[in-house]
Amino acid sequence: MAGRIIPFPWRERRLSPEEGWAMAEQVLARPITERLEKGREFLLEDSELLLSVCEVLRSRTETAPTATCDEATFFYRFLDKPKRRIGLFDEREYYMGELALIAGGSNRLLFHREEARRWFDRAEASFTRSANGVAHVARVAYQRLALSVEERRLNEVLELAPLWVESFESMGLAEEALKCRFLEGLALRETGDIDRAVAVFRDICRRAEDQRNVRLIAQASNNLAQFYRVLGNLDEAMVYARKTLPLLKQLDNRVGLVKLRWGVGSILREQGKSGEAAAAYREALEEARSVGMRGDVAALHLVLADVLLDIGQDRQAEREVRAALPIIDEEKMVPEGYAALDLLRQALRFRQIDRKALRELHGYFGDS
Amino acid sequence: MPGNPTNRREEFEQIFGRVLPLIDSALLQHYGLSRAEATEVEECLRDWFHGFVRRPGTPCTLDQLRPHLLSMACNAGHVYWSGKIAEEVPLDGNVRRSLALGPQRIAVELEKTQEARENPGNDSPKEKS
Repeated sequence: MAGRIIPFPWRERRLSPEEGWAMAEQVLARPITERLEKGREFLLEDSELLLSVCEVLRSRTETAPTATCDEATFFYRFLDKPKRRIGLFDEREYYMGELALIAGGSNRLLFHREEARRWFDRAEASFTRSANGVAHVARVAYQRLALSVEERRLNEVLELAPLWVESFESMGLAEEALKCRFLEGLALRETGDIDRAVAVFRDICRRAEDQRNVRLIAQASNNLAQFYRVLGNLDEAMVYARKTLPLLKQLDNRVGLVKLRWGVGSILREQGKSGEAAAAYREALEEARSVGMRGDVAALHLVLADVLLDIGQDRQAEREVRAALPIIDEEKMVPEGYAALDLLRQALRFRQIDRKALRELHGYFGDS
Repeated sequence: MPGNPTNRREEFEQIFGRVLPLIDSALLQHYGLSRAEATEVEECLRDWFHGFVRRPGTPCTLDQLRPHLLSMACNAGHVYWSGKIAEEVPLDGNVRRSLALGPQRIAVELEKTQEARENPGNDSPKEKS
């Protein structure tokens, strides 16, 4: 066999996993604007570095979605144009898919739904050209399903989630299967079938404990705290809230902490402890603001206004409503709640708050 | 770094080692690479594989990983010939057949052959768990 090889040898020196991880932390600590100048020094085209960057960014999605989105966008654009050779096989396609998926997931958490959708399309386009593409496309489908929950396309979720659970199980991906089950539970809760939702989440907790998956245990317990509150079992709700708090702190899951503190505020409010509830809502609000969750910030201002009215702090309540309205306008949130928004705005002109409109409006965000 | 990377790496190194004879035979017999070239490609595949198993959504058993490795090995064999100038077309019938059928088809054939070898009593390929 004649064998002069044109592109051989293929193998190049690449970073070890440890070097890749260390370099990723070094690169991510550097402002984005300075990175391209240091492209050679930072070995931005090294496959091991990119793998570690993806690992770090995935772990930060729920902690710092805004920064994660910016980072994922930077690396995606870096790989996209000019078209760079990354690794020898499917590495470029995989990393582009993964970074797009991370950017999409971050945008989803930030309420930027159209952006999220576009990033999911990009992720899918790249993943179809990478190894194990079926599993990655299924991961994109999970994100789209999560978006459907947030957009309240609940029948769609109830139909599709069990199918994706089966798909993930058939691929041996137990964690992803549980995450889809999670969405099914959320959809059941949103359609008012809370008993079935509780059963689903208790099952998720059990399975997540078997898998030693702290993240899912925390999220499922967080939801159970909310569901028991809705069922009026405030003691059980507080038990789950207390179980969740240290887990979320351990994970530095600030998105989860927003939801938990919001939920604790609602439990306290229903226990008649309005002052403590207001404090919990404020904590949630501060956390949501620092994470950049503008949708939740707007909703929390409204919920806080509602509880402040309960304790006769009308002027402070007015301030909260006034803080929420520009965000709702800017982000074009709750188009279906336009009438309530308008009523609220009109009432504010007379320095009054239309309580019914206020409640209707924060109802559109979904009570945590 | 997350997890216990050293143990995991050893675990996956063992899986790679078990698929290596198949990869070797694919590169030598189906794609006609020389021994030195095949070794070079195998080292590249080893690097790729250790990154591949760290991707989310990647399975972790030998049965589930082998098809991905074989597929990538056949892709590498195919690309090897794509990089050659027109005068260097392969004379070997096996290689010509592999290039005509494409890497995915060859990888599936190799996988089926291996399954048949592992389950000599079965006519149909075994179910993946």
